[in-house]
Amino acid sequence: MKAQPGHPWPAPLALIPSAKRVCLLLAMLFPVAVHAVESASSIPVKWSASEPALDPLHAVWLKQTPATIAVYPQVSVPPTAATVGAATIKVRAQYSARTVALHLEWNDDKPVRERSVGAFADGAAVQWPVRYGPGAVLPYIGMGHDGAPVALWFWRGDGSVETLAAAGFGTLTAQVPDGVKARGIWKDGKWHVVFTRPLAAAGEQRVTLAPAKLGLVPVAFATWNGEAAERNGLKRLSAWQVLRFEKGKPDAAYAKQLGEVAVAGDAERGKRLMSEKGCVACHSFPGNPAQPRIGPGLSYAGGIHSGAYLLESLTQPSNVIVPGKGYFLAQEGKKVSLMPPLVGADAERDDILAYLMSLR
Amino acid sequence: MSKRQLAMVMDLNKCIGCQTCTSACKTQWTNRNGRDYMYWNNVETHPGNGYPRKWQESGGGFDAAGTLRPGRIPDLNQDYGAPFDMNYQEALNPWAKGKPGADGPPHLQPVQAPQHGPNWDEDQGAGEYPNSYYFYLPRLCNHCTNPACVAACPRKAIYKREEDGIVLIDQERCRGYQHCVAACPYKKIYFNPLYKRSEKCIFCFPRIEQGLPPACAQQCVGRIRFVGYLDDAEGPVHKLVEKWKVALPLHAEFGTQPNVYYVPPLSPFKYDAQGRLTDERRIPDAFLVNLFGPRVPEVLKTLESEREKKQRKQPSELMDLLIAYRHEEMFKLDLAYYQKKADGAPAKSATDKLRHVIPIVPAESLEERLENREVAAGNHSGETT
Repeated sequence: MKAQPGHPWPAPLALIPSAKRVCLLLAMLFPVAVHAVESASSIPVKWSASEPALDPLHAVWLKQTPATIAVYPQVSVPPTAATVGAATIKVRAQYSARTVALHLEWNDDKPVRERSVGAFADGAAVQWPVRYGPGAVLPYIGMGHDGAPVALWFWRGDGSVETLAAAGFGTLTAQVPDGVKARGIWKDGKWHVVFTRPLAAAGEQRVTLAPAKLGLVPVAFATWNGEAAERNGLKRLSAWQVLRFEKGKPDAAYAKQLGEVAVAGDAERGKRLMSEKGCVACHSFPGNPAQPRIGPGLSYAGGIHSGAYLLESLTQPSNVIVPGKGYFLAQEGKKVSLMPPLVGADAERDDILAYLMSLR
Repeated sequence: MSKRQLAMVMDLNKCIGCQTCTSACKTQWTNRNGRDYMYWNNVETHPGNGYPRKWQESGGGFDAAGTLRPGRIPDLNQDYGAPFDMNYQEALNPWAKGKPGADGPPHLQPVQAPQHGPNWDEDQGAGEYPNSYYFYLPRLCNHCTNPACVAACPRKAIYKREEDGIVLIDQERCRGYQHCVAACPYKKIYFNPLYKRSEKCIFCFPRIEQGLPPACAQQCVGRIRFVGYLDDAEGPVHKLVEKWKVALPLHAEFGTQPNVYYVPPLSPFKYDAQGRLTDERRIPDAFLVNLFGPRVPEVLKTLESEREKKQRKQPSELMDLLIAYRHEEMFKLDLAYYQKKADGAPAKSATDKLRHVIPIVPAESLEERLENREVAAGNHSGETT
C-alpha cells in the first residue's frame, strides 16, 4: 500500500469493500486488545502408517484438510518484492515412522519452469530452525540471524531441489543433500508441491525431527512467482508456524513459548506514535509518505513476525539485528543496531506493538 | 579500492573492426557450455545499437547520489541474439529429401530467423554520402573501481581482487539471481543458462598472473590495446591516461569508474555541397562527447598537434606510443608481483612458470565437478556466513 501524502489513511482503503471498511473503521474507533491465541497458527501433521506419497495429486493428500497460511511480500531488505498484498498457501503435512512430508498448494495462473536469461522459475521453500525447543530463540524469519541458523528445502519449477542453510540475508549456502525429495505438479491454476525427508538426517545445519519427543516444530514457507521475475529476496514469506505432530507430547511450557503474546495496545494510537517516536524517519510502512530505506520495511511486519519478536525489537533492538546492509554499527567488537531502544511508557510501547501487529 | 588497478587503453583511431579480439576471447572462454551467446569481448559499430542491443539505454550504474539505478536484463533473442544453426543437412546434402519451398528447392538459411546478433548493424553508421561515418568500439568488462555489479549482488558473490582490481564472480556463491546483469550499465555480465550462474570477462587473469596480456590484447592485429597498471609510471597505460591524458573512460556518468579507456577517434573532414573539403570532422564532437565525456575536443586537439609534429619529423612521445612500433611495449605487466604473492619466494623466470603442465581433465568429469561444486561448498564450510 502506498500512502497519499496528506491523507491519514492510505488511499487503497477506498478500494476495500464497504462492509469490510466499516469493520476496519470500527476497529479503528474502538480498539480491541489482540488476545493471545495460543497455537492458532499450528499445522496438524497427520500420522500415517504407510509412507507419505511423493505424488502431489495423490488422493491421500487431496482428501486431507489443509491449513491456510498467509504469505506476504518480502519488504524487509532490498531487493524487495514488487507484488503487493497478502496471498495464501495451503499446507498439509503427514509423517510416518521414517519420513516427514509437507504438501504445499498455491495459486499461480501461469507456471514458469525454465530458468534462463531474464527468466526465473517458480519456486517454494520450507524453512526450519536448526535449533528449537524449550528456551531456544527462534531465528529471524528472513533467513535466520547470526547465531540462529535456519535449514531450508528449496524446490524450483524446473524440478530441482536443494538442501540449504543460512544465518541471515545473503548467507544462503548449499549443503550436502539431506535426502529431501520434492515433486511439483501444476494443474488448473495451482502448483501442488510435496517435500519429503527422512526423519533422521545427519549433518550440522539440519533440522532435527523427533516428533515423539517434542511434538511441536517451528516451520515457515516462501514462494516465488517466476512470471513476476521473483527470485532471491523478491518473494512471499510466511511467519513462523508450528507443526503439531499427531502423536507428539509437547510439554505445556514449550507449547506456551511457541504461542503468541497478548497485545493490549491501541493500534490507532500506535500509528500516531510511529511519527512522534521517530519511527517514520527510517522505516517504511503504509501511511509513511517518505518510504525511507534506512531500516527494514515494516509494511507486513504483523504478518511475518510474532508479537514477541516485535516487542523485543522495540525494547532491545540489538538482541536480534536484521542482517541487512547498514542496519548496525560495530561497537567494541559487538554489533549494535542503528535503532535506539524505544523510550516511553509501557502503554505507548503496547500501542506501537498493536499497530505493528496490524500491518499485514 | 584495490591496492593496484589493472587497466586497458584502446586507441580507436587504429581499430579496423576485424573482430580478432572477439575471436580470441571466444575461442579461449565462451565457445561452449552455455556461453555460446556471450561475447565477453565484442566490437560494435558506432553510431549503432551495439551489443546487447541498446545497452546504453538499459539502465544500471549509479545516479548522482550514488544509488543504484534500476536496470533491465537484455532479451536473449532480441538483444543478445541467440546463436542460430543453418539448415546444412537440408540444403547441402543431395540425398536428403528437403522440401521445396515457395521460392524453389531448399536453400541455405538459418533454421530459426535470427533477431539480433553481436554485429547486427556492423558498418552501418550514420550520415549522408559523401559525409557518412562510423567507427568501431571494442568493449569488454571495465573492471570498474566502483562496480555496480558488486553493489547489486545480495550475496556478495562478486568481488574486486585486492591485488589488481580485476572483478570476478565467485562461482560457488553465485545463485544466478541476475541482479548484476541488470545493474551493469555496460551489460557485460551474462547469465549462463546451462550452469545457472552469471559469468563475465575475467581480464584473462590466468594470463595476467603469468605476466601476459589478455588474449584480446595479445591477438589485436591493429595494435590498439595497451595493458598495464594505472600506478606504473613507466607503463604505457599510465602514460596515456595520466601523463598525456588522451585516454577517456566510456560513459563516466554511469558512476562506476571504469578502467578501460579509449583514445577517441579523429575522422576525415566533411565535404560541402560543392564537393570541397571543409574543416569540420565527419564524426560530430557531440557524438563522441556523449560517449567519452567533455574532454573529447581537447584530446582530439592534442592528437592533431602531436600528429602534425610527427609529420614534421619532430619527436612525439605520444605518437610513438600510439604507433606502437613494438607490440610487446604495449603491455607492461608484473609477473614478479604475482609470484611473490603466490609463494613469498623470489620470482622465477617466466619460462619456468609457463612450462608448468596442467593435467587435462576429461570434459565429462569437469561437468560432473561443476555439478558437485555446490555440494563441495557445503562440505568444506559448514559455516554459513
